[in-house]
Amino acid sequence: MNSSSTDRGRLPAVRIAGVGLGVLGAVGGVAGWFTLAGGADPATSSLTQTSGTVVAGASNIGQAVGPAHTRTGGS
Amino acid sequence: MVATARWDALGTWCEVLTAEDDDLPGAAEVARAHTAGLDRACSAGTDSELAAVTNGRPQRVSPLLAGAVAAALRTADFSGGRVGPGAGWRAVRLDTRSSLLTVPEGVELDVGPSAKAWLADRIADFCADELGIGCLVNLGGDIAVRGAVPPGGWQVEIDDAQPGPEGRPVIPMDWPGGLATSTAAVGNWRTVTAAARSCEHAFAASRTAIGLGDGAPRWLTQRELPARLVHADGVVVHTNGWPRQRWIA
Repeated sequence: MNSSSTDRGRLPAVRIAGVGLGVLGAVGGVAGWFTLAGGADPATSSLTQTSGTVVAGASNIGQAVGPAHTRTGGS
Repeated sequence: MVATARWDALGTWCEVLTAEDDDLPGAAEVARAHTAGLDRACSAGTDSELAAVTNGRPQRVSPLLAGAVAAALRTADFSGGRVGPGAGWRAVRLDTRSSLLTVPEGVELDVGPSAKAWLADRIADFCADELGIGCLVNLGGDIAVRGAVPPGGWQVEIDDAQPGPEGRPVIPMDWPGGLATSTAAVGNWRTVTAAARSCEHAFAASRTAIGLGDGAPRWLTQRELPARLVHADGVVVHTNGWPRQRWIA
């Protein structure tokens, strides 16, 4: 959930993206908003309200529960 | 206990995971039959069913080929034509009720990429609906999940090709739906991973978004799609709803 001040302004178009709908989605949910049950990250949603969706570096470090079962990407 | 089977298929790899050991043989058998069928239907080359129908006349095709072409056309529509199955795809006609397919002469359809995502959904649906098996089906990184999941959800590593010092991100996938990643060597985004209600939708979203430049997060947000985008300069962008992630070495 880190969005340092140095990150702000690096991608102005990205920073704008999602702020409008993001606020609605984070606060109460836009009708039909696709929400990932359980694992959805409120911290990221909170970040979206204040500074767009840019996240730099390690964020959202959750509870470790062992190795990955599978992977996506990189193929 | 999670059980896994993996083998080469469709020019990539197929992986089937079940939350219970006893369920794996049945799920893997379903997946093997489906991947072999899709290979016969639309693999590259001249031996496939698809290659035989590109003659401009309506022809009845197998359910697998009809489904794969339908998925390719849906993906093309969703992407606004950015992710089409080849030049001339707009002239392709498919009657999904009768499985009559018309491919104009000279049009070469490549339905493989979207077909893999669609097939992952189809396999997972069959396992859940017909066999009562909760599973994760992964076709070359296009992932479909249905039914019961292990405690904490399926743990899915997001492979960015260039992991940072904190390691590689892992998310818990515990929703019935899909996850897919697109990768590009050039352009604004290195990778885009999208989550959706189906693997086909996630594939279409990630493949479209990666070509959209700085407008990609907005495009995904407007479509209410949680996603993780890695910019070419390394900055990571999450859209709303992206799952809480952890890191592994």
